[in-house]
Amino acid sequence: MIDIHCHVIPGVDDGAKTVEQTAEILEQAARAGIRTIIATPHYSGELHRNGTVDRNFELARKEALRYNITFLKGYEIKIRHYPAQMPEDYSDLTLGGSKHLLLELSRDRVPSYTLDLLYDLQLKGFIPIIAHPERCSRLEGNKQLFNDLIDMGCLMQVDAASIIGVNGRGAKRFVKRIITSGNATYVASDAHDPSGYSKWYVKAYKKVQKWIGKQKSDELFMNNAAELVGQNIEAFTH
Amino acid sequence: MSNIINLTNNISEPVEEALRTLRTNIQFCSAEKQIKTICVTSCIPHEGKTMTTINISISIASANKKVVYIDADMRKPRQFKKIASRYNAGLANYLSGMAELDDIVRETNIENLHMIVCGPKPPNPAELLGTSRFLELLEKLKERYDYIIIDTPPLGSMIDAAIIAAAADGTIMLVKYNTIDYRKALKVKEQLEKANARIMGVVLNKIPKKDYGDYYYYDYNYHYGHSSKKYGSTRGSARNNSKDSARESAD
Repeated sequence: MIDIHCHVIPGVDDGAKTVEQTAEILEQAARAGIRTIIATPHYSGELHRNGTVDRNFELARKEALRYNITFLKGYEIKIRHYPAQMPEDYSDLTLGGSKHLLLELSRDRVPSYTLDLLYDLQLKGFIPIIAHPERCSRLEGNKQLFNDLIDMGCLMQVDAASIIGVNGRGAKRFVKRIITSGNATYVASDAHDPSGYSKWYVKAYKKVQKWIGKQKSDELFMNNAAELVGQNIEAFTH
Repeated sequence: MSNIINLTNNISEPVEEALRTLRTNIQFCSAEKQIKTICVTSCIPHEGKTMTTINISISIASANKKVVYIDADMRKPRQFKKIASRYNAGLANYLSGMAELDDIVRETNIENLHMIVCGPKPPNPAELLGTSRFLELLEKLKERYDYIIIDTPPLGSMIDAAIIAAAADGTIMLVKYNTIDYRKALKVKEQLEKANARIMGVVLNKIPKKDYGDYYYYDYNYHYGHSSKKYGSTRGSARNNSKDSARESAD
């Protein structure tokens, strides 16, 4: 399986704090059957610019090699309240060097420039992925906004934890609706600690199989992400 | 040019024959009047516009003409556009100046047929299409291709098609069998005339098999009528309403 969203790089966000913790998370990931990980720390301009993320990414990559996990870099970028708080150049922030950007909405409010920002990114050739829409209560209440995002061609990445109810009943209900209506493209762990994999990921996979069958759930957990990563591999070979 | 787009082309015999007829009529029209850019529109959504437009493009391309298909329906929800989701850069990117022609023209698995997808959904499609860059694009494409076929949103609900029709050399109106009120169709025709569009003709689409035989029999000799009964199992039938087309192209 392929995980496109987790906080496993040590010391750059609220995920793993030390390399030891990174190793623990990766061990559980390998046990859950994950072969490729895109590590997506929360984007912070400062850590990105001064190279901390790159350095610590290398540390984590060495750990991942021990578990035979292909390790790629990405970012989870929060759409902040003011456009000026957003990064200027997104080309280094994509998932594993592909054209996909993982964007996160605030839980309770979606700033009015969001759709313009997404359209602008699309014009520049990026493909926006909305991270865990089910945890954004604003989207659950505002069907129009959710449909607008889908209509624009945003891809939806839902969290494994939400599927089994860790993020609350509302999120579970919403995530079921997103998945069964065919609007989800990826399921990712969003793991901040080992339990993201050991407790939730495999359970979520079984649950989604019950909802939509094996073939479709394989797409969400594997094939769609393989396509994302595969584009990247092609790009490297050229 | 990169990322070949795969189009499937499995249409039944009568439909193919209807498409050949349509293609021939288009070629007759264009011989007289130098029609290179053709806009296809309809009254309401789900009349089978995209399907027919792609099939016309394939049909003309298979007659050894260089064809480019432009998806200018920038209103349609993206989830229905499986092709566009993978090949991101398209018409919207070009019109807003973020891409050049070579970035947006894609090859397809069909010889002589190239494709421009619509790209990201803009908040203001009509304004984008109204820019001089759209006319520029058509001029550039005219140098490269024999035919430019443009798929548009339905004119009954959106104005985009009128803007495109005004820029195009000819317009084909698509009408779904037994669903469109004639007043609605007339209104769309008037709208096209207001935009100074040259209506080449009307295509009657999705005729059920049993009625299709009658129409066939009525217009053509019994030989074809007979064969349509034999092969006539098709869900979507397209054929040119030659009477209308003759009348419209006369004025």
